[in-house]
Amino acid sequence: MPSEQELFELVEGLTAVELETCVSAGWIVPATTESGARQFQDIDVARLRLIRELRVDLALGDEAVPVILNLLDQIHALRYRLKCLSEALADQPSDVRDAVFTALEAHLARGR
Amino acid sequence: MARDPYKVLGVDRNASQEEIRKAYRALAKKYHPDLNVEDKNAAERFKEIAAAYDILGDPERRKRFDRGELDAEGRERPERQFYRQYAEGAQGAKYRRGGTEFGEADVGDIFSDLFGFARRGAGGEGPFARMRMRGMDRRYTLSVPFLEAALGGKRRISLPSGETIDVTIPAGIAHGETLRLKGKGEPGIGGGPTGDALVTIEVEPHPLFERKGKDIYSDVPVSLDEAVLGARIEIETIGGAVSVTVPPASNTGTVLRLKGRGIAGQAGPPGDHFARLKVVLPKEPDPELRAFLEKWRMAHRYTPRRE
Repeated sequence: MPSEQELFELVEGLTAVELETCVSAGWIVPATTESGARQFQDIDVARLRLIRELRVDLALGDEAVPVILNLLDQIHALRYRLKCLSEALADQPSDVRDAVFTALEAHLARGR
Repeated sequence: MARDPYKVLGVDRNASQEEIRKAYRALAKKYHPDLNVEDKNAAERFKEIAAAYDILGDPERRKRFDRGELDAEGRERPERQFYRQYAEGAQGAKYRRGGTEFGEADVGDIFSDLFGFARRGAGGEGPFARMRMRGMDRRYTLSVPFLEAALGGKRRISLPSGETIDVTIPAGIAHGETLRLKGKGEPGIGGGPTGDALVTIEVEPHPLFERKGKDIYSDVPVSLDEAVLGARIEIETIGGAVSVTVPPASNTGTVLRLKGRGIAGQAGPPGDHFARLKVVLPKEPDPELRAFLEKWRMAHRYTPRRE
């Protein structure tokens, strides 16, 4: 678990102002410890790097960042549910899987 | 956390190895604790300089540091993880928000990405394909003689299926390295691609040669007269015999370096062969030698043991 100080070492170019902007805007959501201090996780480091890259390297603009993060979060939520679904499906006996796939195909044919 | 080693040594990121060496030497001379006895911070500062040189002085470590594989303290840094790798894991739960309802029409698209199903045309062609998955990899261990690993070669191995495959042993392959043979693993499911065969190489030891990195070491016996008077001898290397000059007065333990006679065939220049000399007396006791030495030792006593 990185400390708040380590964030500035791990995310190249990160400033204190940037970090506060990200947290107050809700782009990064650190946990709070019992003492009230902020606790950052590895995912927050990766997310801070991503935000930096979107804003600085790709110069997408501060207004675009929340829009992009929102879309990204929706995608990951979707993918997560599908991952659970496909794992549940892979656990099924082959006749259950076959039944699902046959039904899927029927849906596909209808949908076109 | 340590400071950037380039800043510590005061050199540019593009500095040559020579410039780095010079910078280190100048700083080391200036800040060596024994040359600054009154300064109680000298040890700390010197440690920082030495640590920086430890990373930048070695071209290989420097390259790895520049690439981000080592941190400023010289420790291994794991490969950068992109956000997406965390997003689907446990830590990602707090960010997975937003609408996730999706209609039936989307399901086919999503599944075709996840499972790699072929889309069927309008009109259908029979039952939907089964789950399509890449076959598993199969693991093997292959024992390879020392010289074959050093110089490369070809081996034929038979798989449990009865199939035999020819494996190319790359020159210079080290013990424990793994070769990946594409498509020689378990067959895929439902038309998915076949997995690979992973062959781990075990290199058999050699009676003469020892390998350390890209260098080869061997012990070379020399006769008493060859060691004392010097001689021209043949030394066995992995590439064959090499004619080498033994300098006069070469003692046991003298190491002769044969440049470029080590392991080749991998990135970078070939390694070297290091021949460790071992002075060996004649097999049969020699009465003349004995007589000579009994007289000789009267005026030339010496002891190699530190009493």
